[in-house]
Amino acid sequence: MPSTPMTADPLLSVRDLRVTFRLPQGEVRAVDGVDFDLRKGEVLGIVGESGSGKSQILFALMGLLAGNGGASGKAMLGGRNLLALSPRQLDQVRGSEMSIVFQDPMTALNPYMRVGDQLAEGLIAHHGLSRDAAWKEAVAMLDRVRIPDPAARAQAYPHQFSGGMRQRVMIAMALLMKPAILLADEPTTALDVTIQAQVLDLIAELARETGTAVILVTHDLGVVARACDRVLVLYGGQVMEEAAIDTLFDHPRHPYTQGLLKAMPRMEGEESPRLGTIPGAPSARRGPGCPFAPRCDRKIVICDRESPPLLLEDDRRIACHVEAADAVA
Amino acid sequence: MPLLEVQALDVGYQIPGDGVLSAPRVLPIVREVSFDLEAGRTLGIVGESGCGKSTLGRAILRLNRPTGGSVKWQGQDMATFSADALRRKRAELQIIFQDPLAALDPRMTVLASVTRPLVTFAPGLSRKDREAKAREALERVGLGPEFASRYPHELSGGQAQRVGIARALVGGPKLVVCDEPVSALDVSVQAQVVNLLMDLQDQLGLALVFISHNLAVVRQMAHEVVVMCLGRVVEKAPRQAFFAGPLHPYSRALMDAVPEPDPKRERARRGTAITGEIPSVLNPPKGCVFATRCPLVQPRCHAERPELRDFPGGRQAACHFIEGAQ
Amino acid sequence: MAADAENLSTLQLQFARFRRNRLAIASVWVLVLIVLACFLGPYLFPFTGEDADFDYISAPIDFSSPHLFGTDDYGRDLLVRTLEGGRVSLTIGFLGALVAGGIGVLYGAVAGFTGGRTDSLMMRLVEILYGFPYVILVILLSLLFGGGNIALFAAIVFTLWLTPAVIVRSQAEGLARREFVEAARAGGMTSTGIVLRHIVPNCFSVVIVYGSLLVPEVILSESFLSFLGIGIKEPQASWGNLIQTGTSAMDTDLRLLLLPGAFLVAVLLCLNFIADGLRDAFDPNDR
Repeated sequence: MPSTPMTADPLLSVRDLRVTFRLPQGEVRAVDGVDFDLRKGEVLGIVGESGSGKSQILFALMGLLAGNGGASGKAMLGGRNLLALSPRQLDQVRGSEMSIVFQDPMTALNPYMRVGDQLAEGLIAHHGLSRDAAWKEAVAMLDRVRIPDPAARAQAYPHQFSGGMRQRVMIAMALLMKPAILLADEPTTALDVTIQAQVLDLIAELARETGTAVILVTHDLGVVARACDRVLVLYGGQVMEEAAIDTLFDHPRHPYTQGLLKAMPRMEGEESPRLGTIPGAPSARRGPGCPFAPRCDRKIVICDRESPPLLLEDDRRIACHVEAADAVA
Repeated sequence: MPLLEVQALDVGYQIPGDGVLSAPRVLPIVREVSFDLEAGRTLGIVGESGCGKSTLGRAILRLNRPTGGSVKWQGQDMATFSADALRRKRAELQIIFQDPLAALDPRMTVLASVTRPLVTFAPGLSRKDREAKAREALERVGLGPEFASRYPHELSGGQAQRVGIARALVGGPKLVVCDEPVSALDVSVQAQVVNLLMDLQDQLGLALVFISHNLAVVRQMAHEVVVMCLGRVVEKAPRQAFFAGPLHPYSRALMDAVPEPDPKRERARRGTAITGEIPSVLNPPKGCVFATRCPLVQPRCHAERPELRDFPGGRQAACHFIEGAQ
Repeated sequence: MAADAENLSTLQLQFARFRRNRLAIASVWVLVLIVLACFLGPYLFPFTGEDADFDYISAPIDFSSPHLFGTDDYGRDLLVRTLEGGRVSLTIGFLGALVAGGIGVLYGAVAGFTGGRTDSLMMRLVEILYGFPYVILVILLSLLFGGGNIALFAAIVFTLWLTPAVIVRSQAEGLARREFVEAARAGGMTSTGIVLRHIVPNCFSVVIVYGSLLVPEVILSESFLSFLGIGIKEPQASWGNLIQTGTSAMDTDLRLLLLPGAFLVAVLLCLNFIADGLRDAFDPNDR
């Protein structure tokens, strides 16, 4: 079966994305053949633990990889392959068609510039607005992201904002240019729980209002359940399972997804004396077979030898020899 | 008799006064906190930034000095211990940290880190005996002999946290303060460490003070839950009763805000997050600590701080609008 | 992280990185050769640097004569004198750096770790000492310690411990806040124990890099003072006073300046390359 059929008019189409880093001790494959489509207005979650390569996917799309990193494959947006663009062409795409929000808002904001100026900067540079017009739009966007008293706050400096508010400023900056796609790399991980909920709801709401598609990278399956429509489960640089969130959470089929869900403590439901565990730890080593095989409790012989293909089955895509075998049987 | 008795504990930091010449003032971080803890039980302390939970954890171990109230260890007020006696008592009261790699001296091997506390706690032992005890502690946390000569930079987060736990266990503690011990770990590794802590509690009868912002993990581990906000306890309850139905609006808000891997539950909660920012510790609100964000707020809440009242079932909560106080 | 068959400590990894820097390693070899030459070289000659050879007064450079690089006005062999001078300068240099560094590190570690008022007081003292004009301070101290070479050594060390103290203090301040220091306190360690066992060893990289820059500073210090006439006194040679003699004869006779100058420059260059290499090897951005 072909791995990924064309979804109706995907906005972004990623095929065989690979990201490799050149280190003194050899090459490290952070992302090892990832395929997915992103539709207009949908929120796609990419979930994985350390070493899964989830953040590198975003960096590769935005052309933000470190100097010793290289990306290959196809990322088709508007008929162009993002991975093949020159730096100047990428600059145009960045900020106008794609924006990114990072985990730590403090480092992404210039501490010496007023927030309003930073927001207006992009509009003046890319859209040719006058300073007054840009400022007005900036204040309107601050209001949209629920910053109280936006006109006054626009005059303030980043250090005068709390963590949650700074993250909202980042989102405002990202959405101000009306991008088609918003990339978010662990945007709420550094925030307190109540603030996290606000920011997640905001992202989901704005995505729906503006029709912006979102790729949300996180390690937290709860975040995915709250804010996303579809989710990609990543392990060892490869897609393990992909499905709509109801499908995935109601019937997880991949052993890794199942393991993750069993390992998460729950606020509701029955109490269990111990949490389910996945033995071992995420490691950077890559053998020939399925990256999850060393830790999988359902593996068969072929799992260590061959990487499982990502197969489409009814309502999901799954890369697992055991599940494929069951499906056929 | 409870192992640990904390009574009306206040902890504050000195900060410079408002003017150039004015006297320094004390910024309260923990205010009037009281609780008891028995052997073999876990007290979960939850709260967000600025609630003072980490400071409270350290005050229990007297790693910082309280500005009011008392901490009694096995019936004795810790303020009465001499510096030397306190240092030796630390064998019984230990701590594990949030960032497992930062908690290890990068220049010491795993074995050296775990052996070191015994120099103070078991001065009579020979070096060989100390190392033997350290290896025992490492075995207990699931780290085999091959880890003894490793350096922190060669360890994963989960392994480093196990080393931290082994180091805390080596002196034979009765109580261990766990300051966000799994927040920096991957989900699958988190589960391993949580299970390990629970096993150790069963095997050794440890009392645990488990500090976390993650309510779900607290539900897994704690026997009793304390919710803190801006230095004060706003609710205290046994675990099952707490999670079945919290009394305080802040507890409710926290629970609603924690995202669960359950799309139906999450869809129902979309858009219900409480608004408002967490107030700054430097400028705490008058009246109830939650007044600025509470969905049930009334003018009375800003003017008058609610007392912590007792409720049936060994529960306590500080809110003007809960019925049924005893 | 894969563990190698032999666990490499951070220190070993850092030195491995240093070894890959060819300029630094070459400098180490050159320095070793110079040190050997200065300490063992004079034994190869039948005369010392203080023996006057009346047959060869102010002899020119002549590789066929017993005095390879010539002699000075008193008939003393220039090469041997330079080598012997090297003994003095290098000893003062390395020993002085060691002592000044040692004092500075301890002072800075205690100040940074203790913090608060003690730290402020200790650092104010350092600032006051910084304010004194260097030469006057050395002269005063030299006189205080009774003149002579030991006094000179003490005086140089006394002025040079200040900068390592400041550097280590800021390191210590940062380290004091790290969790493993808190863990040590929770493990029952005394403050003295923590400073000696946790703070100082973790300042090691900074100390090594700075220390290797301290050695040239001490040597230059001694040279400068000898040049001014308040350092090592004749007839004992040091690079400083040899250069002093050489400079006053510069218009007429460059030979006197040539050897000690060349040696001093070589040593200073080597030490600087080594310090650069160490700094790269200990780069805090890597582990």
